[in-house]
Amino acid sequence: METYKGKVRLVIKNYPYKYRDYSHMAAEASLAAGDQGKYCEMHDLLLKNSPRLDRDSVIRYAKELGLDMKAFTASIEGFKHAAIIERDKKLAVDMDLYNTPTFFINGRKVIGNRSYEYLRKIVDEELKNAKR
Amino acid sequence: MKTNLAAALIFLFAVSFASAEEKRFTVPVDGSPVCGPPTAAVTIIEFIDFQ
Repeated sequence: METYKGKVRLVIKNYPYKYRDYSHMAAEASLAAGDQGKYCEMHDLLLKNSPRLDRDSVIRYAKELGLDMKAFTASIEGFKHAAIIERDKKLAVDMDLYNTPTFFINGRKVIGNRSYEYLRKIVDEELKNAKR
Repeated sequence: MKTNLAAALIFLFAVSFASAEEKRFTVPVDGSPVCGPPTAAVTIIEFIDFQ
């Protein structure tokens, strides 16, 4: 993402797996940080530290970002953003998506664990198209 | 006859593969978190599980 600063916009949809321990909490944590204007920072921290996403870890990341801890904890414990997460999951199912991550790069679908180089190739193609 | 059928199948497979490659999906983005400028030439929508 750093390479493409200013050229690429990322939109995030949550697709946490039902049977993984911390998937939902991590999604809640990202959105709770978003309420305090730090979504992107938390998104990056969670991905960098995955799979260390248990409650204590997530709270540590929130502290690192200087969040209001009372609001943050209440948010993740109260599943405040469950409706958004469920909406995203429904969208994923409706679109027949079964893998994470799945990317849509200007609408072009790229599934699962493709290499970073492959993603770059598509992004570069799209940037080139945009310049025409 | 069999060769024709095989050729037709290969042709159909190639066509569907090529069109699948070009297909662009529309994903609603309202109400979802965004990182990066709204003016960006490229939009990546990611479906992720952080874990």
